[in-house]
Amino acid sequence: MDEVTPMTSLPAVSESPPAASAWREWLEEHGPKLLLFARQQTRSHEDAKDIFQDALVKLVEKVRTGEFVGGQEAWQPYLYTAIRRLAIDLSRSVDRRKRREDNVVADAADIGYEAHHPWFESESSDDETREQLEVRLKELPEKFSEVIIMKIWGERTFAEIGETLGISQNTAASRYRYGLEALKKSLSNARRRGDLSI
Amino acid sequence: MKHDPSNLEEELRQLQAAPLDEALLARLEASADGTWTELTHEEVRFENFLRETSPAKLPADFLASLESVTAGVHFSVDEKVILFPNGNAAPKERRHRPIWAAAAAVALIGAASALLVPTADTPKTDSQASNRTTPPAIAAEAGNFVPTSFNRGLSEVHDEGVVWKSNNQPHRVVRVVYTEHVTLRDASGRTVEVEQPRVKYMLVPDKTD
Repeated sequence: MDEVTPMTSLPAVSESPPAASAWREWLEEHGPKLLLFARQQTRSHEDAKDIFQDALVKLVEKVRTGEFVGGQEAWQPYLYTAIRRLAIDLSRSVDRRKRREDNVVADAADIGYEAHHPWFESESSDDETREQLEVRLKELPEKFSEVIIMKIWGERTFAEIGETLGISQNTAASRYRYGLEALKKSLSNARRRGDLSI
Repeated sequence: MKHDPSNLEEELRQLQAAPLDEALLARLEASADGTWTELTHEEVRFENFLRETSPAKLPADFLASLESVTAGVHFSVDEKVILFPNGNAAPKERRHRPIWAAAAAVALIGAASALLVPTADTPKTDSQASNRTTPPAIAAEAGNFVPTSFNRGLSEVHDEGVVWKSNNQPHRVVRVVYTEHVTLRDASGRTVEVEQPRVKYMLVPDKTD
């Protein structure tokens, strides 16, 4: 087999579109789910944007220098892994800083700021479902929510999720199942309490 | 008081490891036979409910900032392959056409587009492009051969079955065998014809009912 080429995008008979617009199209399509993952991995919208951008810079640099192994289909797995690693690094440095500063006021300000940056699209479902989903996902243990976000909105397979997280695909499937079950229970409770009318 | 180690060992030996609970046993069994990653109907239903809520779009200023990061970086698309639009845009009756017809159409359009390539241009690889210091026209004046025509002839198309890609979408693997035919000519009018057999494997989005 000399070439395997996934065919999921534009016809290429005519001239290639300008690079910037092709990237933009790609970012518009895949950026929301990558940013959602970054949001889950970090404490604030700003941190999420920073690490997403840093991850993209790493990818672009590798593509530019020809170091990147694989085609376009490998970009997303690379970005998920890069985002996670950058988030871990950021979290360590933030923890150190927080221990020094213990800046509670700043955190409170962050919480207020976050309200203006919902994780989900407001047009895609009614507001209460969207809000409840975000709240319940944030309440889940991180190891569950990261798998759920990668699987459902990132459309990653268990094998790919396992590779990103450094776990087996069976462990990824277990976390997904338990997380899904916990999320379902949590949403059902919200519905019973009247927070959610689905 | 000092414990007699042999007694303690005996006592410990009499303890039994707790048996595995039914859920863990089922999970281990499913992992062993490779079915643990398959979701139940109920799990898929809940998954679909969650999927109805989409991630928020990128803020415009952030998108512009990301785009600036990519400025000047080639967005690699294999220009020899005709890429299909998303499956949901395809009309339903297409599903009943034989797959080789789609592949043949791909090859024919490829061949037709190759004929439209300006004849003065030299097909080049990325590495050649980066090393080239003179344009093809200058090379021709120096007596080197330059391509004057380029053609592709389809010889075989095989359906190699279905594979599942990482996004859980089925793709049909199509093996296309074709021959590239290039005619080269130098400044004194001498021509050389080069034929190169090629094999390409293409992934064509498929549907499952």
